[in-house]
Amino acid sequence: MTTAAQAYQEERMALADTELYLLKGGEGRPLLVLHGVEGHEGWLPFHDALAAKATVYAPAHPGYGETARPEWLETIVHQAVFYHWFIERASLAGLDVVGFGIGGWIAAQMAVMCPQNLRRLVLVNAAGVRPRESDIFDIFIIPWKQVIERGFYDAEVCPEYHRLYGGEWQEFGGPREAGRTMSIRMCFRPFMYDSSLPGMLGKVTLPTLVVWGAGNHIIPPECGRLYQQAIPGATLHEIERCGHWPQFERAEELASVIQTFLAP
Amino acid sequence: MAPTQYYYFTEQPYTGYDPAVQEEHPALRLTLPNSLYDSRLASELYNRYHDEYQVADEAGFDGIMINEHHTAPFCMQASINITGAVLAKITRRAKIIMLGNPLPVVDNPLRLAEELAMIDCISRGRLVSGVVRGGGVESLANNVNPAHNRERFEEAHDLIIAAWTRPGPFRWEGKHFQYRVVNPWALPLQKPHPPIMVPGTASPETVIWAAKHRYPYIVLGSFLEQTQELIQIYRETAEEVGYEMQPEHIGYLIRCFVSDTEEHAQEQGKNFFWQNGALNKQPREWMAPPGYATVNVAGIRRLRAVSRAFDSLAYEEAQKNYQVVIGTPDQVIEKLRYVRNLLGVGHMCLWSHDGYMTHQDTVRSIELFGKEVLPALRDDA
Repeated sequence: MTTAAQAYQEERMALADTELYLLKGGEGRPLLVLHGVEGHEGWLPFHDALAAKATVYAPAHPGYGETARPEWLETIVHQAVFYHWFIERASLAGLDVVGFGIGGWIAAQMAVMCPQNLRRLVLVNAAGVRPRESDIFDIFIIPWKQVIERGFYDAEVCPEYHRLYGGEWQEFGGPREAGRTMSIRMCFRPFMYDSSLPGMLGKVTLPTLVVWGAGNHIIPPECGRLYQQAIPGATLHEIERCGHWPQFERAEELASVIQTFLAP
Repeated sequence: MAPTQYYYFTEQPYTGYDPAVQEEHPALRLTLPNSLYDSRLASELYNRYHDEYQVADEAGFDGIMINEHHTAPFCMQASINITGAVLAKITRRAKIIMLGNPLPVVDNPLRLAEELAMIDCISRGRLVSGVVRGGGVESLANNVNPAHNRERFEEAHDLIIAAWTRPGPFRWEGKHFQYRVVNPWALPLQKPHPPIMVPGTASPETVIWAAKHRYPYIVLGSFLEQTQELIQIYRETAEEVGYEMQPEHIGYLIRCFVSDTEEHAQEQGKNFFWQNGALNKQPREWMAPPGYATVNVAGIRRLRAVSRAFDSLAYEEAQKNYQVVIGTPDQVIEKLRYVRNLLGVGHMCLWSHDGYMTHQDTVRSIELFGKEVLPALRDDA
């Protein structure tokens, strides 16, 4: 059996006035996995599960972690342009995309922008759409530890929570500060949505799976339904007893749902 | 060398809520419910504070320092320019020391340039136009992206100076602000423009920026040791830029209340801690949200934002380390002289009213400043 530590490699690619940092592992059809608000958390068991049936590309977005922000890159739309640039440079046209939170918003914007580069789209608890019945929880005015805990349905029983956040807690600074900063730069106002996105999503013709944690207290499940309604033919899969981070809390189940959807 | 200037200051606190409710809320700003706000009392307080400004003007303060905060009971001035406009009409001699307009949270800096020009004209050239970045919480209160704070601060500053000094009409195509036509028909009386000052508490970035522009930097009541560090940064930056820092380049804000008896002064001085010393009670990340400052600086700011509960020991300590100066005229003269000379500052902002101090006590303190304290300090020159 291959351990997670051996199952992937680090790559760096000079691109668009920065150097893209990514982890790559597995074999099969290329699958781009776009992380969420705080940034890249390394090679996860979730990545490992996906890598059983795909070549997983898990980059750190510009401005997050080890990928510096190019001066010109300020918005979600810019991120989408950046990743199309990456796809074209790496000759990966026709790949699948899975995006989490802000990464989901980037993926949705990529699908609007240039669907020819993509095959199938998976949006997991994606930001980008304004709910009508409630609000996206404001993560920028409470301590980050509370944001993290709120992201889990039950943090205490989740091994990934303890592995990633259980050590000495760094509220400020540290490796996650760049990611928080980039998120606030892109998503502060309006907070975590683009009011034009639902209208633009009508253009998306890709097979699309929307996945939501039924217990998501950051981005309400209503947003999952709005995404499904906006994208023609999209299907919605809700995960019970799961919060904003199924990739941490329900990695096996989530990977399985995604693999079923992506299977040829 | 210009003699040291002395300015009167009050936060204009809104004292109409029961401090007992503080314990129930995580913060005394931004989210403290405004259902606790009584507009009738506020109306009385505004007018009372303005009356006291008139007394300070007549008593001989060189200036009246004013400021601006949002969604905060400790400071009723949601618009520094409104207070500035009032001062322009109700005072005669004192400079109007704005410390300052929070530039990053303003969406239309050209209007700010116009308003400030009006205040300078109406006051017959008494405006000192300070500019600040505003704490992170001001960005949250005004919903302006903290990651753009410094860029907006610098661009708004450049635009305002250009609007005042560059013949219009001209175009402005900046990163954050764009104007088809900059051509204000309200220009300041003072030429080339009103003096600029920059207050701050801890951020070395701001000291360096002020020093590079040769703008006076006013340390807002930080500990003396930290203040000396900030002044040293100014001095070194000035040397790098090619000039020698003078006392008029630096100032200090200090809490100082005077009374006829020591006992009364000691009792009244506790008002500087009227919110149980919790003026800045807030989640620490509001001080510096992600992107507000460089990561290193953010760490410093957040560390220093930790406050302690107020008790008799804290009160004694605050006096011992000159965070608060309280007493009879003779007592405070000696202490203020020490602080001024230690820091070598050319501007002393005297925070002389806070909390529940009565109008009578406040006026008496101002009068004692005018009659005894300021003349004695000026005699040193």
